[in-house]
Amino acid sequence: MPEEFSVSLRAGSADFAASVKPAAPAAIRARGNRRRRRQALTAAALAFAIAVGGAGTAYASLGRSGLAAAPVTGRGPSAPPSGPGGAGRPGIVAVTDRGALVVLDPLTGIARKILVRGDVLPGTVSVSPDGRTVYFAAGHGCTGMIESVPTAGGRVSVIAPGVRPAVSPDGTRLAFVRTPCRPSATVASPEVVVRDLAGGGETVLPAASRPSSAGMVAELSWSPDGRRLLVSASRSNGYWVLAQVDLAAARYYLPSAGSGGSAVPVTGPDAAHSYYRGGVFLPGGDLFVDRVCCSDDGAAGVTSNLLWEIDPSGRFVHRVAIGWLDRDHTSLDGDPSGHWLLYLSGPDLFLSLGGAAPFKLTTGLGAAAWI
Amino acid sequence: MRDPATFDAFYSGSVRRVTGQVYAMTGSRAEAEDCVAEAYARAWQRWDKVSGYGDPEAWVRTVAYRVSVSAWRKAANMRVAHRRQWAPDDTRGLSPDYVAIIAALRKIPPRQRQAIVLHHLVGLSVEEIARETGAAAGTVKARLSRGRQAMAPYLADSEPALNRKPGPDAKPGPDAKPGLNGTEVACDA
Repeated sequence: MPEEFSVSLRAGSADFAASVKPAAPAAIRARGNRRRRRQALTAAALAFAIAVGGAGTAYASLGRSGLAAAPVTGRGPSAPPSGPGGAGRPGIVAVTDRGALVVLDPLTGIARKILVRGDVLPGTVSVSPDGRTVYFAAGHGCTGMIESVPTAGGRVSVIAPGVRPAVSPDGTRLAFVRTPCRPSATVASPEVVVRDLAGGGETVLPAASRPSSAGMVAELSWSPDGRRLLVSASRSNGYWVLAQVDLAAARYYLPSAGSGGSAVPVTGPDAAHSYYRGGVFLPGGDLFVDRVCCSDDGAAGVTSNLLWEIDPSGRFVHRVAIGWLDRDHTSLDGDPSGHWLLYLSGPDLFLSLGGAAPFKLTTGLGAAAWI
Repeated sequence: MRDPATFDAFYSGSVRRVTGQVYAMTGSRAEAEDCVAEAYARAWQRWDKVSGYGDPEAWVRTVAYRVSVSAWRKAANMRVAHRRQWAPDDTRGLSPDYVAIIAALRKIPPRQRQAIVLHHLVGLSVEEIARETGAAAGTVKARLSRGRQAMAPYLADSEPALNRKPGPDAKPGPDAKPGLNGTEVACDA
């Protein structure tokens, strides 16, 4: 036996093992527990599918039960439009590419109710924790206007000038983005505003001490405890950052010394050239992010677009999908039960049950969220 | 009844070692870490049974390897994309010999790679590998032999696995060492 080969392999492997930074045992146990729950859920969905749909539907569900498998959205839809787990799937509210705010049938993707007929801006919509109110931005004035409407339908209420609404987990506060109106020659930096929905009081967070360092804010998301905001923002140099802003201490939303915020670390291979194009908190505290690599040549230099679940320290938890290189992936969202994910890939709406292979439900949308 | 304390002790004591072994089998740090984490999660899922096995670590290693192969089969497109996107693993701190061996392992078929790693890294006998992989002992021997032969050209310039076939003028010198195939070859490094 080539002893020297074995010795080199073992010595190298020992060095490699020493460099491994494994997840905490509790995290692994939590992953195992989640897997157990997902399997139970899949089994229930399968039983339901067999009961109501026959063997064909059951097979479709079985095909996506391998949760460790890496889904490939680049292949296109991996299932019939209805997808798995239809019985327990929450509702979806969406903005169409014609500017209407609608409630989608979660099984077919067809609009079953129109809440607002037009002028709704793409980007983000947000649903109150009780599922009764949708917050959206309408195209009024130079900054947009945050408005709300009951998910059951009814009168629209005007909240405040701004865009990108995100309602807090307890439903009492609304975060949004406001860009002051300025003469066209002047660059205005967006501000993140947290508004008390009952009293109307506002906390305003500028981008930084130097306004010129701001670019735009694409997404806002609340931590499950309501103490932090996740801000997906671009800097003036074009690079994107995912910032965790402690609302009790923050002075600015872009991370810098003394800002009270911090950037979610980008980990994994090629971390130095990768960044998070967007991200949201999931109910369990992890993040659902769009990780893009590499940015050196702008959009033309994007070589991967990965939808990942990570923990708040940036550690990789689960790969949900591989996105298209030439598309933006927006409206990332997890449903309150923690079982479902959704995102838009360009105008296409994809859903994922338990982080398994996403499937395309419908298209022609500019924003979406779980109810 | 699943006991978190025994699982935590098992996990903490073995995860780095298993990750190193699976890394040698897959050649990708990210994939190894992901597959090993998945395997331990599955171990915890049925810890009441797995903890009673004679060698839970072998169970985890086997599951991690199967997860990696399964993912490989199911997501060929994903892996193509990853090859484009993922830079080579960070090899800082690793010896050049080890890096060369891992690179050579990546170039041989997965089953041969698994057999080589289980034999030369984990230290299992042919019979033990046969039990762990579910293959016949003769098959394991063939995989080991073919794997060594397949790796040899890629390690030709590497110190630890000298396996150069002597040229027509070459003669075993005083520093001759056994090569990967057990043949005597000259060492001029």
